[in-house]
Amino acid sequence: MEMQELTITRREATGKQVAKRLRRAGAVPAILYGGAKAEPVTVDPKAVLRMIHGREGTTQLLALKFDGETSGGARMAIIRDLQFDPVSEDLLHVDLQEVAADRAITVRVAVRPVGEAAGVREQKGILNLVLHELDVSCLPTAIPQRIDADVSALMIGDVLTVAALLAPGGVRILTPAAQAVATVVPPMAEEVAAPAVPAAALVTEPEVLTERKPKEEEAAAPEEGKKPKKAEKAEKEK
Amino acid sequence: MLMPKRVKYRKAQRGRMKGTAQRGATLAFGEYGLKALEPGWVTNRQIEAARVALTRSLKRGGKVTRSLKRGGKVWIRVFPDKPVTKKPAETRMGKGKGNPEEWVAVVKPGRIIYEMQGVPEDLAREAFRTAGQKMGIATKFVMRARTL
Repeated sequence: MEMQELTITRREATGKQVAKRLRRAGAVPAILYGGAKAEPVTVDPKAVLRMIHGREGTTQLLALKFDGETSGGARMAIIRDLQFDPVSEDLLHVDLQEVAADRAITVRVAVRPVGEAAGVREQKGILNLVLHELDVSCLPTAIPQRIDADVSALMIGDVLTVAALLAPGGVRILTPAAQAVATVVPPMAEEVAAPAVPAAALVTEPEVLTERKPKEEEAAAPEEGKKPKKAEKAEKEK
Repeated sequence: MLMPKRVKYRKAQRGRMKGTAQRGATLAFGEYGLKALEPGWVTNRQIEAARVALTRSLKRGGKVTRSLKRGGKVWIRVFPDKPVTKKPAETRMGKGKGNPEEWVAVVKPGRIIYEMQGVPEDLAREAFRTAGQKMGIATKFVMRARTL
C-alpha cells in the first residue's frame, strides 16, 4: 500500500475553546495516539481531505512529519477516525493512530461490487449493497485499497455473504462470515391507487397503554341529592 | 400514513429542538440521501407526500432514460412518533389540552430523512429536489463518497 505524507504540528493547549480557535484559523485539531503517550496536534483539513478523496471507507497509511522538526524519522500512522459537522460537513477532528510495521492492526476496508448482477440485467432487480466496509486484520503495509465483491451471479433474492469474498494474501477478514454483503431486491411494485376513503375514516388513534378505564361510579348518573358545585357557589354568593 | 401502533400516553409536550442531530446524520443504507438543514417537525402527511413524490419521479425518470424502467430502493429514516394536539376553532382558552390531530417526527439539522439506492445520480438529485419541496424545512442532497 502506498504511504502518503501528512505534515502535522504539535500543540500544547487543549480544550473546546482552543479547538474552536484553531478551526477558525483554518486548522483542525487532531490527536496522535498509539505511541508512548497521546499527543495533541493540528492538521491541515485540506491535506487530509485530499488524502482520503476517492479512498473513502478504507483506512489510509500515513507517514507523519512534524512541522518544523528535522530530527527523527517519519512516524507511521493511520487515520483511525474522522469527525464531521453533521450540517456543514466540515472536518472537525482527526484521530491518528501510530502503528508499527511489524504488528497486525484492525482496519476498515471498502467493499466494491464488481460486475453487473444477473438479477439486475435479466430480472430488472435492484442491487442492494448491504455492507459498505469490512473489518480486516493485517499488517499496516498490507492494507488493501478495497475488497472486490463479485455480484455478477446474483439473481433476485440471492445474497452474497462475507464468506464468498476473497481476501488478498496476509489479510484476514474479521467480519462474521454469515454477514450479507450484497443482495438483489425486486423492483418497487407499482402502486395501486387506493379507493378514496373519507378523511374522517383515515384518522385512527393508536392504542394507549396507560389509558384509564372509566370507573363505574363516574359513569353512573350523578346522585340526585348532590348539587353541582357551581350551583352551591351561586347560592352562597346570594 | 405512518403513526405508532400503540403509545404510552395520548398527548405529549412540545419539547425543544436545540442543537444538531447526533444520530442518523450519516448515510446508513443507500447511496444518496436527503439531509435536513434546519430543525422542525415533519408531519406524517409530509413524509408520505415526499415518499410518493420520490417514487413517482423515479418512475418518470425511468421512462425518460428507457434503460431504467425500474425504480430505486428508498428508505425512510424518520418516524412520526410525537402526537400534536390542536384546540378546535373558536374555542376559549383553558378547558384542558386539545385533541391529538397529527403525528410528527422531530428533525434536527443534519438528520438524514430519506435514502435511496439503485438509480443514477442525476435521477436521485431530481427526485430528492421534488421530495425536499414537500418537507417544510430546508434540505439538501447528499451522496456517499465513491471508492475508486
